[in-house]
Amino acid sequence: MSDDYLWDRSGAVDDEVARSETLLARHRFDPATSAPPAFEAPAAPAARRGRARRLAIAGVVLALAAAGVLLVAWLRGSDAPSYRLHGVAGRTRLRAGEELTTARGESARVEIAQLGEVELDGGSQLRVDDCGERVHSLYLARGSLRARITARPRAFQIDTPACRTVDLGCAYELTVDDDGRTSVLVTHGQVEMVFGGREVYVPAHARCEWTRERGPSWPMFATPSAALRDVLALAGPGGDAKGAALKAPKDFVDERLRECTDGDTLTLWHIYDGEGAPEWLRESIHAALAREFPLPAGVDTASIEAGDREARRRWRDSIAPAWRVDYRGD
Amino acid sequence: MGSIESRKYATAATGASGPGREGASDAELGRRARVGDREAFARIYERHAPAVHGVLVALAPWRDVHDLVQDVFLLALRSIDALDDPERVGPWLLAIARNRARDHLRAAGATREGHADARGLASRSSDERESPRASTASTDDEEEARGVLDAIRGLPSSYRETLALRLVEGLSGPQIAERTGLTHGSVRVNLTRGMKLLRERLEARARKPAP
Repeated sequence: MSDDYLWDRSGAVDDEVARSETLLARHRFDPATSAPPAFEAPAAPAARRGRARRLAIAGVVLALAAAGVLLVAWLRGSDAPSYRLHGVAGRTRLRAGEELTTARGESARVEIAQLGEVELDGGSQLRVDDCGERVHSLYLARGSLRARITARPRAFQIDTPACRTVDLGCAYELTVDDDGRTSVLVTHGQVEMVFGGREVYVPAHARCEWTRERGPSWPMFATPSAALRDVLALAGPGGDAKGAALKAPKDFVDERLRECTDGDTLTLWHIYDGEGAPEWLRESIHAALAREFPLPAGVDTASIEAGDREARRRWRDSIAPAWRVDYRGD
Repeated sequence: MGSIESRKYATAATGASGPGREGASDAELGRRARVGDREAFARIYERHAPAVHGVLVALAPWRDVHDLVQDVFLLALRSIDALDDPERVGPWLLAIARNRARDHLRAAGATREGHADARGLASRSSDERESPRASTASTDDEEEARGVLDAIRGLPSSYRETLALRLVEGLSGPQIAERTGLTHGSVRVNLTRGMKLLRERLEARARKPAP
């Protein structure tokens, strides 16, 4: 029986799962009977009204003082972190919380502190979320941009309606269409695309797309081998049926996997690490990858199979050099 | 090339906490909570208390779960400024929950993690905290529920937590992935293998002759 119902209650109902859900629902967290700890300050009771009034007056005084400080800061010129902006009439800085919209045919360039720059194309809408207080963070609502960043990994990120693109030291093109579909083409270095517990690694010359509804595509170089295409046919929709139609599906896949190139392993890794592919295919891919790329020290098979994120990331990072040297390019 | 565009994608979890979603993201709430915004922390509680509860159900005596949930969030509130990555507030809370459960079991003198509750489950002492709904359930259903819960707690750790979140808290696979920080693939494997093992153990239990 398919595990779709167990996964997200789609497909045919699994009676045993449904029975367990019904029985165990009585033990579910109930917000009605589980008041949260006192995270918010309690309302002042009547007996403390006098003190509350004195506190309110003190609060007003403080607010006026703070306003005065802000006024002085504004008059002197604010020292709030901001990015230098080029190509936009009447604006030279972009601060946290501010938006930038370019008309068709226009463009703008944003200097991201000493880390690099972002070129925003016409017809785009960009917002600065954080100017480096914790991380340099932008939000691309629509349109396209090219980023060239030389920061340490994960110091710069761009959110879109579909996902977050985390810079790992690279240059890339990011496009968001009117439906929020996000596409990234990495021209140098690598990025990570993350959302909702899912993580996709996209190295130079690879492309990946992401939508909110369907999640990420498998990242891929422009020239997948014929062997990878055969594996993809079994990993995609209808793959189970195609596999069942083969005389010896596992032998077929194992043979194809032996013919895959190092560049193909980028896609294979994400088929294994992602979801949707048949379990038997994922196991074959796991075995093939492990033969070619032994686990790094301190990472064991059990943690990889259990989905430990750090273990998987460390293994992926040990494979990643193969994705930088094998690609021949167009 | 394979039909990537037409392949079946997992549906992103509803009410998830990512960029562009309705409502503040976990990252935004975490950032705000980290600088003392109690309202933001209250929203974090609303969003993540079920998952924390589910993990504790898998690890601790049922009668102690309610109080342990409160402990976890009070501990989190006290140490929120130590949260390095606000986006990972969910997995961070679950790590606190696991540690809290371990400390609780250690203090209670439990010898086997996750199994001390076997005595608690069977016990119907007067101070045992019961789910209000349990009191209206039939005795047979309640016994069966306890048997299933006991079997879940006897599973390997990666399976029991995932199954508790799915079967007790009613979270979907994508929601479990988001709350725990695991990949969708890992959650699916944990659910599938865990459920297979659960079925085997329940069948074996059903075949055992009554004492």
